[in-house]
Amino acid sequence: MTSDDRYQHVPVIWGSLGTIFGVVVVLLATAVAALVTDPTAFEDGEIVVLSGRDDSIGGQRQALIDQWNALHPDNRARIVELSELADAQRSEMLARAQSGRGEIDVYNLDVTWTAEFAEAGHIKKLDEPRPQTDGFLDGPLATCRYHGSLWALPFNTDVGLLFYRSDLVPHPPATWEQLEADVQRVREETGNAVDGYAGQLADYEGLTVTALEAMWGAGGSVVDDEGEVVDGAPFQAAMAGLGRLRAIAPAGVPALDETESLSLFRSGRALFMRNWPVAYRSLTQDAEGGSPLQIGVAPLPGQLDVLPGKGVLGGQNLAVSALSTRPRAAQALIEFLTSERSQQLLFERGGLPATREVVYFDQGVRDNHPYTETLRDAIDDARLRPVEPHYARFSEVFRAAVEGYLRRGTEIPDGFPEQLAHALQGRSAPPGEG
Amino acid sequence: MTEGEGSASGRIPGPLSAALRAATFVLAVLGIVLVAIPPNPPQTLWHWAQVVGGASLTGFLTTFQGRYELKRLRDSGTVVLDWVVRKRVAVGASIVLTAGLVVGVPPAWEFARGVSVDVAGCSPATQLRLVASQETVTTARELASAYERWTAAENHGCPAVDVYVYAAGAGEIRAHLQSADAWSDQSGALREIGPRPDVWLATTSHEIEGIEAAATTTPIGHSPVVVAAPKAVAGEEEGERRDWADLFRLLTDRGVGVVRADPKGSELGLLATTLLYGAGGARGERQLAPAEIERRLAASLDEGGFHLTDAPGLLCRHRLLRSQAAVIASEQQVIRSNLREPLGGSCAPQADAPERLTLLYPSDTRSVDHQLVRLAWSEPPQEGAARAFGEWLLSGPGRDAVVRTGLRPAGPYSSGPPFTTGGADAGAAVPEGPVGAATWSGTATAYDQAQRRGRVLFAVDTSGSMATAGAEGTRSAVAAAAVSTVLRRMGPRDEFGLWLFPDASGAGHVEAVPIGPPDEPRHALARQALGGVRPAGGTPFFRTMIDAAAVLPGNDSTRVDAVVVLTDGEDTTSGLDAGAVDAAIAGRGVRLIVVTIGEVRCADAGLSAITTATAGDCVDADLANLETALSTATAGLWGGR
Repeated sequence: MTSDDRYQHVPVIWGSLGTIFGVVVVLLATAVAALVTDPTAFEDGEIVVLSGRDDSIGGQRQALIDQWNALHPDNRARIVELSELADAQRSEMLARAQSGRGEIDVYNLDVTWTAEFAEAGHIKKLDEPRPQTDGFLDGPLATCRYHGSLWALPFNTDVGLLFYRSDLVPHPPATWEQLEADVQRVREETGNAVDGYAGQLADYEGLTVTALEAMWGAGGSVVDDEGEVVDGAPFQAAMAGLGRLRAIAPAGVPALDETESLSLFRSGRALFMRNWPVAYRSLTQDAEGGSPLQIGVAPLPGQLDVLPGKGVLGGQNLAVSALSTRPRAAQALIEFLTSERSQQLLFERGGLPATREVVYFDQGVRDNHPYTETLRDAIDDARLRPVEPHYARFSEVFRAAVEGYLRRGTEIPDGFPEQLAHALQGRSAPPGEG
Repeated sequence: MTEGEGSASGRIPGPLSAALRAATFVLAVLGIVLVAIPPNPPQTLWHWAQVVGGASLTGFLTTFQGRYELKRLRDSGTVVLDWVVRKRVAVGASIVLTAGLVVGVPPAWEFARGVSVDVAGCSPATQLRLVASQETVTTARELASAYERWTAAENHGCPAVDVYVYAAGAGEIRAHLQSADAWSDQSGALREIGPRPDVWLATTSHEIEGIEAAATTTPIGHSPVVVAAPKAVAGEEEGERRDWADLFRLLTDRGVGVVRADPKGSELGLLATTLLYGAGGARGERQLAPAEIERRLAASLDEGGFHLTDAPGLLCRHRLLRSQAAVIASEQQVIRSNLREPLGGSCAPQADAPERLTLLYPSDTRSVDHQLVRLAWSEPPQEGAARAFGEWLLSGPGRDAVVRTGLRPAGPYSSGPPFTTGGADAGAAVPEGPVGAATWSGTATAYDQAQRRGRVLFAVDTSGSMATAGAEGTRSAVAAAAVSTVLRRMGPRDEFGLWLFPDASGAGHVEAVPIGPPDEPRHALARQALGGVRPAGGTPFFRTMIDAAAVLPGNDSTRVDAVVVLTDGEDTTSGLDAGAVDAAIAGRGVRLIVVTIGEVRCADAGLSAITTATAGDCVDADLANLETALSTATAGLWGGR
């Protein structure tokens, strides 16, 4: 027998015994470790939160982090703040998640990114029943789910509202047809001095939101609730809605973002404005003693037979990084930040709409934000953008066509549904066009 | 040992049947395929499972069964042929299987991937962050987009990379790359500028000197500095190859305005200055002194209504004003302008066709040499994606994409579109090499001495709305800090003044610091005034603009006269409108620069009109980037060094 043969002639029994011994040692070590370790204890170390810029009034997010730090000196949290631009935030968050360094514990994700981060394995599934999800509003909580699992907790919510010149429009339009009629009437009466519906019409995510709302308002859609691109009657209705948006947009379809829409509306030159609730404050508070604009706020209009209307549900969700080395502490932090008390502070003082139902019944909140009830109704009726991992590419392709149609007068391409379907798969263009 | 002996002993694995051996072989190949397929390095848990599983499978088979077979062959080397003959069925089957795998696996794999994409969608693309200055960002966007499309075409329509391209000030980029904390979480760059870049498209090789964060640099293309003018102006010089000194003097002597980008904010502007000063070579008889060159350029900017900006901005304004001046720009920028392609920034496209510009190539001109800089802090998978992007730019498809942007790649290239369609002379020979570091620094020093001095009146909004607080503090406090910082950027020969509005009446202003030199007592006075602001009252900024412009002499070719207004709201108490400001200020030689925060934005037609009419600028800022925005907006005003 050669040495090579001896190598292969090790009795099976010894190999088996060795394996069994190894398994027993590992199991024992694990059991001992489990016995001496508290499975609920927070892991030591700083919790790092990667987030977009704090847009709350008076920096309330940081104030909450300060509260957490006072309560948990061994697990202090730190916010790494990114640009206010959503695309820039997404890029930095994705790059860090892909790098696999595990330096980030919590991501503050736009609601449209939850599916993308979950699908790519960048965030950790949250085990129910902990955290408790009772008490969250249904819509915001739905943005935290993907494929039936909970991946995040809703930090703040948002929904598009209709702001209108109450001196020129006594009652808010209940339908888009009424809104269009109001625009036509006031244009004629004022010679276009007061003009149209100031949505977000610049080439960014705001345009996707504004266009989707107009499409839904016409009973149309481009993607159904299952994430499939639709064709036929719903698509045609969506295109009709887009046509109406072009008709009611301010002259020249200016490239407006949220601030520029607000500026146009504040100047009195727009009859209606689509904007987020935070716009209410700057419209009604005039620190300079001037007479504020006479405005009203309402949910977005609906269709004749489908009332009320549906705004796009926005907001941000807090998720635990899949690479976090302190996931228990990170989850505890996001539970703290989304607790009823934190949500009340964020809304009451910071102006960020809460994701907890009970906050909307708080008298202090209602006193600070008179539009609270309208907002709550609008959130209940709001609709989600496609919950898809490749939503970002979908939005890019969608608004490229919409922007051309609204601003440059180009037609929506014949293969638009196919382009959207490819985009939802993450493809840059249908084969042969790319 | 005969077949079956090993098995009979119960201790040695016996030789396997032919079918089993063939199956073993197939399994070993499968193991190799599994290792080869995932990206390197693996990006997901599944990739790791493939690598580890595949390697283990092949390793197991070769270690045990393969080792046994090899030993048998070694012991009886002469019987190999016999063995092959004896095992011909198994050997033949193995050869056929191998050939089948070699030929069949790639298309089958591609087919399976296609089906996978159809069913499950694309795998996540690698996120790549690319920063470029304003004058280069349009090129960066086009190249990134072309690369994304190219990777998608190779991959069932799925881009392998998702490039986020954004613009930042050239000075900001360099400053952060040179600082110790660079783009760290604590540096503020993530919030104020943008994501931590993996790659930077630098305008010139000069920009990357001394940048330690640069891992590799790839020269991707160059573009000669040219003089672009309407045909009526350039006609006599077309076809001539005069040198820079001669051409500049000839044009300006003829009364043709010649405008150049601001050398402080534009690499092209600084290179053009080098060429105009004759700093890179011998000075001829017709070479003008730097001070005279600057005087003529300043007069051209003022009289032509051009603001102090980069070359795309000048071309944009040239297009808007239908100017008859000549613009110093890169060949690429003029091609883009002639083809009515986006010029970047806030340059609005025009519906009607502007006049095409004729390109004049001075005989001693040089090029801006764009460099793709891969930054050292980038980690996998971004590091690999950045490297692949750089390599692609040097490949055939990449070079084609570079040409489509109007840049000349290194080496031979097709001089078809856009060069032919954009009016360029692709045959004009221009040295490709970089300008020396000493030449750049010599030019910067000479420019500092030659440029005209600034006389700038700051008017800061202190109305009630400036008490609004953000995460950074109140608007008023942030504005005060930003103005104080910007005042320190002045040279000793500049002058400044500071007004606050409104006054007690609500309709006027308070003169906190009258116009004068930037000595320390006046700086202290400014800091004291800004620190004592208590926001209250309305916003009479139209009235303030008119009053401020009236105290500046204007139309002085030795001075840049400017009013810089920092405001957060619309005019509430002047009783005036933008038209009144336009009528009072336009043509006086006083530039109006408005920096907005809060509710008012430059999209406001009135603001846009009055800043354009005075060759000024309007810049939207927010509290987080106010200091940067104010610095950038006023960078071209200071010159008294």
